Amino acid sequence: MRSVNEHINQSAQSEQNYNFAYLDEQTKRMIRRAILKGIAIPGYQVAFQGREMPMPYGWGTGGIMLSASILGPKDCFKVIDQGADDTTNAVSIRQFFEKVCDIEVTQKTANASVIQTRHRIPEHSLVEGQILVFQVPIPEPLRFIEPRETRTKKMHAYSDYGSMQVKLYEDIVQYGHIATSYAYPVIVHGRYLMDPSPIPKFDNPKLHMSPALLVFGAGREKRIYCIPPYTDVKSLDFEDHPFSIQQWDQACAQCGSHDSFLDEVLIDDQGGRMFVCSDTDFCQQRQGNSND
Amino acid sequence: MINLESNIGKPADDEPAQERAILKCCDLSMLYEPGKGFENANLEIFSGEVLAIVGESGSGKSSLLKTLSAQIDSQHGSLNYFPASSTTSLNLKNISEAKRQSLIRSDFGLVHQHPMDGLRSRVSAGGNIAEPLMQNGERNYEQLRAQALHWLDAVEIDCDRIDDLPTTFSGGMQQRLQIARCLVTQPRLIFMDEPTAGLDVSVQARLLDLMRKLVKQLQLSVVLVTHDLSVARLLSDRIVVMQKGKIVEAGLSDRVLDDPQAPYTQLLVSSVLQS
Repeated sequence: MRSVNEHINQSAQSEQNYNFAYLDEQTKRMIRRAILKGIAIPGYQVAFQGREMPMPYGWGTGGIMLSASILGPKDCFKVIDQGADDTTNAVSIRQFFEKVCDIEVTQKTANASVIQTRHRIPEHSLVEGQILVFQVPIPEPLRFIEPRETRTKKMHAYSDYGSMQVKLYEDIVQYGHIATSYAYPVIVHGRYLMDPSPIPKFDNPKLHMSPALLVFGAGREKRIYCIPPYTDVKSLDFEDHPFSIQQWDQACAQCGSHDSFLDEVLIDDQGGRMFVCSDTDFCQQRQGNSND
Repeated sequence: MINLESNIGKPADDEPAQERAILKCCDLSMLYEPGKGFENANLEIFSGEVLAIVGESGSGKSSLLKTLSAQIDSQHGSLNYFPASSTTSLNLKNISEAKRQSLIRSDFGLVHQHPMDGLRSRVSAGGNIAEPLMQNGERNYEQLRAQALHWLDAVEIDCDRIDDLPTTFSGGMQQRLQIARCLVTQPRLIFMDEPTAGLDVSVQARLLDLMRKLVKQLQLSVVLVTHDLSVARLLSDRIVVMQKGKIVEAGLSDRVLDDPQAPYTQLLVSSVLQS
């Protein structure tokens, strides 16, 4: 029988009984191999053996598995959800990694070495050495046009991507312009069609020739795909309806930025509204600077 | 990138249209199990002709069509295609799947019996027609639009319906839309599987009229599967009669229908109601 002391010791250590970054080392190696394969074939969806994570699918399990495999003890980690550091999803994922890795976390884009994101690419431009981890709900961009996985695989194999244009064609028919505003399909490195996860098309140009490594993880469908640094990424369009990003008449009500992605926020029940930056870190930094 | 070879046009003008085979099969067999499918089919399809494959249900005519159009693989025998751009033939069984796909996309057209099998139900009529062009690399919206309107007009569908979903069309219109989608890339060879089955007689007549006109105008080669001898008589230059997976008779349409040789063909011809 164990002594009481041993027992107490054990419970005190129970927090440390997780392996570093929650996943076991074998799993992390497997995921890193999938990432390496993804980097070697930019935009190609690599299947991997997803693991159960202590949260439901749809909460970013794909991104978390990727982050867990690439984080090291010296990394500085940032999580954003819709651009914000203080939303539920971002806070819970950040706390999860603080607990299972005991690593430094930050809200500042410039300080982070690994950034996990849902829906946005930070406004502050990324630099070499940073890794951006995307949470992806549906990795297959062709799903809208072709429900059969066996068919979409062949379409990728033969770069048979004309049908994807049909979606844009239908947009112009219905709205007079390409109305797809998020998850806007791109061609990576002139070869694979890729869904850039549900980021707004405002962020699509940031994918092109990004100095940072971009990795995408879909937990439910167990797919990983990557855009290596300095890769050509082109958004689909028509010659006479070229790709364009969202624009706003207003500037951010808090920091006055004219060139960031703005969220519309209702402020009362009289129809009052304002536009603010979706990237909270960017907005606060600018406010800090203008206060100086 | 997605740039495939541009559409390969119609047969060269300086050659007599009837003389050049564009598809040829020798001893082609595809048996799902003994007695199901077809065996030892020898056929040539010439440029600019309409070949009808007739026979009763289960005689293997649809399987033969699927094999000829390279949708399914055959068990033995050879299948050769003669591209317009070169003098040598391509063995469709030996070339890579990627090459076969791009060839099918540029040179072949396929019309299904049920129009919605060949159309996208949640895409507008214009989008359905324009899709094959986009697959072949066209990226100009106005161009696509103009082509869609042109082909809607060619198959006698009101141009106002360009943005409507095909599910809102009648059966005959859906079938004409499918034909428009199939013709937009200007294929050399069209495969049709019972294109008029399931349509009522007056709509059938109109569709047959239209098909006869388009085939003449565009100098298409067509392989047509039908169980309806009057359709075959109206459209085809040559007829192949199949029974129990074997070709029992082949020849010029009028010869086969007026002077049938094989016992089965005689039975088939005599069973048609004479007016």
